[in-house]
Amino acid sequence: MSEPVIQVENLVKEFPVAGKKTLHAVNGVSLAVPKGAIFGIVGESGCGKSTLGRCMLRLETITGGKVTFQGRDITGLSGRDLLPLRRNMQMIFQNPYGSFNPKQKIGAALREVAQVHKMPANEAEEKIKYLLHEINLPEDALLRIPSEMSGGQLQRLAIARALLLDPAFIVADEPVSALDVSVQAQILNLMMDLREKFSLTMLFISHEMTVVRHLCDQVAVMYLGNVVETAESEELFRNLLHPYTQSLMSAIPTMDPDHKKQRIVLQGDIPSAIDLPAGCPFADRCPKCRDICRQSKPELRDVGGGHMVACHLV
Amino acid sequence: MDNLLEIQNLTVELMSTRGIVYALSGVDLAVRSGEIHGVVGESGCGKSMTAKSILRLHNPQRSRMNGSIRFEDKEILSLSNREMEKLRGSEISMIFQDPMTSLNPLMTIGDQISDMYRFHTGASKAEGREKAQELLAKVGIEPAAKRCKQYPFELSGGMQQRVMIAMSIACSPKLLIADEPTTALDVTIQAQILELLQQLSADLGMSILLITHNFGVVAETCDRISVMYAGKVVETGETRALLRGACHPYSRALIASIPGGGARGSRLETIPGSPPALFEPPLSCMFAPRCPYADDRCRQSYPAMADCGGGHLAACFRPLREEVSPR
Repeated sequence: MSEPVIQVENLVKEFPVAGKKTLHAVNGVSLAVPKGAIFGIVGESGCGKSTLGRCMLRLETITGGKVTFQGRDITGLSGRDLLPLRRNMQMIFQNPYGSFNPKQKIGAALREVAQVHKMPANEAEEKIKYLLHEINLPEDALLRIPSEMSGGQLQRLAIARALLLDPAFIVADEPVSALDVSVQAQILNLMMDLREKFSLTMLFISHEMTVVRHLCDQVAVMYLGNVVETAESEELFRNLLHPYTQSLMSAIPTMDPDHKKQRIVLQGDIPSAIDLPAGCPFADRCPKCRDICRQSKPELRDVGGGHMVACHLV
Repeated sequence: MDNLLEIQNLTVELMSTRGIVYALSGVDLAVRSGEIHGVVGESGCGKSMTAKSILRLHNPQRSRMNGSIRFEDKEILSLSNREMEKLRGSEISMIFQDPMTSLNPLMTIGDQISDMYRFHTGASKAEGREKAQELLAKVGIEPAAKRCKQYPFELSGGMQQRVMIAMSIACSPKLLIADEPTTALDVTIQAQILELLQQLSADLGMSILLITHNFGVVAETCDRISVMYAGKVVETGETRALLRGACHPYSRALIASIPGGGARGSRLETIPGSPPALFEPPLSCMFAPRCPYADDRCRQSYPAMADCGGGHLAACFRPLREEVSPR
């Protein structure tokens, strides 16, 4: 495996909340995204997956741990020092209508990116035309405003905007969750085409296991700010080890009407990230919970072939 | 089995600033007693519009409804407003996608359930309170006596949806319309809510019209499915039969575009083009411009719903016959 483009070690992100309490959003996560890979992060709402992505882009200040981007420690950078970094890191968001200025023409929105990063105007113009061709949109899309585009078209433009500066790393935060399945399929196909052509390195954040399985090379499953299981995609989905991953997978409704019989329905809700349980974060909802699970927190360890699991019982 | 609800040739036209929108153009749909009937389709196909029409929730000044909606022996479109008010929540009730915006943030959940129950039954305050606790226990919110005094913000999304369900079954309705009830919830919570809905349907003999964009959800919960496209039902059938062998090219293409079937990194099936804008009444098959099988007939007239075997209906001149293996 080639050397990682971006690497986080023991990353911790806490937010202060009312009553002098602390919300533990990310709780000691380590991972490395190799060049040219799509790394998937899956988990339910509030598990810290988006916060992790934002920390890696340094859109948040970091409470603890270390982020290394292209061999350089970027954990403590701030203000002006971050600007050259931004050029190399881009983000695609869930709601394309929310990521474009509703009153600004698409062309202006794309050119603005080039201007901020001091890309020569003629070079930018050429690049924009080239990207429009790649995402299968006509050039007159540049003269339109976001409300004149469909969600799928606008998400294509958000992808084009992210690619404009040839970034070394992209975080895509639920990029297909707001789209209908037929449009979702178009966007996923587009992403697969572009990854070949631009050799993209991407962190793909999603709550949908099926999408992650289809697209990603490596996957990490998060629960309550922790990575509970991570492996190469094919290995992980062939051999689900953590009880949370197993129940998450079995909770997905499938097209096979006979599937439901083997479903594990988890009881209760995700615990609050403010008062973290002492032992395993999943213990309260785990169908296999034993005494040890409530006493000590399991470490993420390799169970063979780079398949890492944080569970006492595996 | 008898039909509890029968919608025939329902059209809804909405007045918009850009002209008339033909939101529904001839919907035919029947819900049998005690069944869970799924309505699937993409954004803007008219699923929620159909649901709202059943309860007549459109603004009468800006919309026009025609056709027939029969509920038991009543014709809903000819009921007076007063009669409609009685029907809503007691015989037909509805739950929505976002429970937080359906609940009053300033009232305890116990009071909200009890108010609703008392409005329809004229019960006393004490009876209302008792009923609220009984209902909360039934939907799995325990301890009910303590939970009654909580406000919506104190509950998680899944719990809020349970409160909505408790309220919707307070008067033992014959039909529950659930409009994307689990779309805002995580999959593990979604599984809990779907299980609850199925259990309530079986216990109370209540029919459910389940509206969703997720084929997996209907596959696991529904007895029968209707697929909608551009303001019409294009296919109706028993769940298993429809998923294994969708006859309408649109249903089949939609099912094929769901990831999960092929190998990692394989290309997903897509449907070329996009759904039509509904500013003109449909004269021919609405799917024809995107359909790989369309011929001249499809572009000139609209196909009626026809049986393609075993009570499985599709509105298509050239229905597909061969089965596909399930995923």
